[in-house]
Amino acid sequence: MNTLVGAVGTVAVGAVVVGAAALVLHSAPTEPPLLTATVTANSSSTPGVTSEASLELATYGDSSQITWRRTNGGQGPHDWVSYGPTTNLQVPSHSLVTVTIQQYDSGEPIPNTFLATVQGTVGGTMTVDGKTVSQVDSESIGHTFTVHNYPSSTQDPLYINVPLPAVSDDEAEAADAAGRLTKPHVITFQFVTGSAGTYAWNCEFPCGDGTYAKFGDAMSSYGYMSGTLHVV
Amino acid sequence: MSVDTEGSEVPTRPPVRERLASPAGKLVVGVGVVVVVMSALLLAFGIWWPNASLPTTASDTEDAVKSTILVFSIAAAPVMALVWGIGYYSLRHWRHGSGDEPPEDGPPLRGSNRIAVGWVVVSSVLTAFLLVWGLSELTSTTTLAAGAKPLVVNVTGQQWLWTFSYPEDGGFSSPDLTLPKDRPVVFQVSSLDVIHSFWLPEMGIKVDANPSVTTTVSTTPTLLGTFQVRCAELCGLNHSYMETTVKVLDGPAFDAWVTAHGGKPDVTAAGGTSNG
Repeated sequence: MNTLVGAVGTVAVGAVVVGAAALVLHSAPTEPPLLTATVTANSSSTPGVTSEASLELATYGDSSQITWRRTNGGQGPHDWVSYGPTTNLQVPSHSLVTVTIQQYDSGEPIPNTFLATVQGTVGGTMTVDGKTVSQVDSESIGHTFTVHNYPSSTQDPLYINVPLPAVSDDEAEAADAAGRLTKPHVITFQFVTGSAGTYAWNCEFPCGDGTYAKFGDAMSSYGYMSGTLHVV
Repeated sequence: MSVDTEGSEVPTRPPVRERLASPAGKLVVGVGVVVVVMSALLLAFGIWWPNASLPTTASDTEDAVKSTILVFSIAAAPVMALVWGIGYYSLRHWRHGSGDEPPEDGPPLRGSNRIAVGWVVVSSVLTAFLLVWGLSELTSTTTLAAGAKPLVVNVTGQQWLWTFSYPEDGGFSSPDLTLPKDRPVVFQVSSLDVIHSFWLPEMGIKVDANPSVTTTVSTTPTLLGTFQVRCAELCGLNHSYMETTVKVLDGPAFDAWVTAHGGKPDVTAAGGTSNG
């Protein structure tokens, strides 16, 4: 009888532990809020493109600048470097997408100078404060916006690398009375999407804490310097 | 019984047929059947499995890997079958029924020099063969065959991207790997941050990418097509996305690809890319 009670008790305790773990994992945050690109035209002069859309992003040295992180929905530390307003992006398929990034963060030399070149955008170029360039000074990079082109038999290839030049330390701290940053570099670029698919993107400049080659904190936590690009 | 030269009676062994018909003889026959059948099954598995489950063979290195698996399977099959056969014999022969009282101790083992020497010699020869074969195949991944000038590719891993540069073809870089068919390639592998592992499954190449260290490995692509490049060392948040493709082109197509990327094809590559 004691053996039976012990066995049943063990199973019951195990079930409670597994159930509690499932409950915790289920309630854990999954994706940051979704940012859907604004469709600006339902036709395009670009061959193979059926619509045009735009997306606006920003990079901050302090994620407290990001609204959703300051509000009830914003889990995680609020003082890490981060992309904003979110890192969960959605763009239309077969579309010409124009991305504007307000780059508010300072920077350093990038370890891999190859990533100081613009790749995968229309014309292989971008604009920095209105000036068209195909690469930037590798000694002063704030972040990169890099979409991974991993092999897949079910979705079209899409590789993009856009280096974001750093602002000076003074510019990175320039803010108005409300605490909003005011002196960014403004980067714009365009890329063309293929069929529907899901892609990972992240910053390839090691900008986390120094625990491990600057890949700690924001670089090793989903939703700060990495995210998902949904092509729908 | 027989009588020896001094007139003493010496026990004689019964004929082979009679010994095989005894319970112990039947057990030995059963063990022999287990060994033979298991050897055959393991050999069949060893021959079938590499081609059925391993990736397509796209280089001489992957070909050597599959050959090694085949040879090791052939060498190991009889040994494994013998171990299983002895296990079967032990379980059957030394089994006690539920009504039997097991002895306090088993019978003492008598030494057999022939078996001991035979076991040591066979094991040593087998192990030495596998060691020499393995080291020889391992060395082949770092030793280039004479002839065509090798293509040098610098492979750089970083969280979570591979980049490839071609220092002797103009020094350009690419996020995708492209190689010429039938020309030796030397990969100089390193990392900018943490430890990664440069893995070309279809080419039998897997080598760690260590920060501040350059590791050299070589192979010769033997099949046209597009294959995988992956990171095989858990390296952080987006490790699972740290993959890209390797394209193997014929010589002229590779030269055109180099030119299109701002490089200069190495025309001194004897028997190299231009010959396709």
